Amino acid sequence: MPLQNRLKEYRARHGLNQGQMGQLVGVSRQTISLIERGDYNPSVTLALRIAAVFGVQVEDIFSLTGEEEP
Amino acid sequence: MKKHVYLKFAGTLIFFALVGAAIGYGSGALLSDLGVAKIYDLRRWLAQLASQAAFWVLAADLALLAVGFLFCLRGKNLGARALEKETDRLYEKAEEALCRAMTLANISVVLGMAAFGVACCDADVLLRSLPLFLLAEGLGMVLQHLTVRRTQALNPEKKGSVFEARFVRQWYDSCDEAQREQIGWAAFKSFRVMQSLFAWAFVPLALLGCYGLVGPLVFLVWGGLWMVQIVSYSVYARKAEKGQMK
Repeated sequence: MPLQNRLKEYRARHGLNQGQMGQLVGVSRQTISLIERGDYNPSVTLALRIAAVFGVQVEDIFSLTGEEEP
Repeated sequence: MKKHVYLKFAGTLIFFALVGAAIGYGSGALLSDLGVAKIYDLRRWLAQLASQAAFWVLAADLALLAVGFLFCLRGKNLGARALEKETDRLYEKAEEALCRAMTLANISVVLGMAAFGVACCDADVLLRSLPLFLLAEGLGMVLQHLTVRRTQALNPEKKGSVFEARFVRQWYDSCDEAQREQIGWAAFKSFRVMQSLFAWAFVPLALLGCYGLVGPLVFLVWGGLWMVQIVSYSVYARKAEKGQMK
């Protein structure tokens, strides 16, 4: 099932580029780019790490298509 | 399983059996007109033609490498701009150029080895081809090395050197979850292509074998390679089921 994400929005809000974001969560810049484009769905572990960087819940960043966003 | 699946399979078998019979009858009629002596002449002529062509294939291989070096240079320039400006689009273009450079390097290395192998069948061609072969393989490795270095400049987490025997393992170990998924998908696609190729290659090889245009060794190599692919896949799939993916 397709996953929507607001990673780019949160990343821009915190002034992080893709490389910096990748370093914070332990993945490559390419992976951050793939997630933002919707070409890759992160693992649960990675999604939790991403949410922890911004101090929000996973559901604030990632949601299933068709679900209402907060 | 639904009945139509069995019917479709049976129909496909019968269709290809009829096609094979028609091709076999037609080629048999054609080659029996030529006679056994002419078949061996044809075989010798084809071998000489392939050996002579091998030299020119090696020359073309160098041209392929030249294009690869141009892509590597383009990747280097785009990569430098990407690191400076931190633009996603520039990173993508740089990585695309480096990917093309690596693809051309890999094609060149394999093509060079195949062409030199064919050249070995003729002593004169072998001597003329040896310097080209050594040059092509050496430049191919240099191109691979430069492409890997440029990629590592863009992606510092990537590890490994093409001059080390464990390069592929080191590179894979430095990949994250998304990159490993990409590798897995590409590897599976490649496996499926090779499965089809091995199966389809049997038909023309068998026909050529019937008329002495290829020898038994070809079938041993063909069968051996396919066997290694299937058995190694089964072994590693079983390990994966047991959670032994290391």
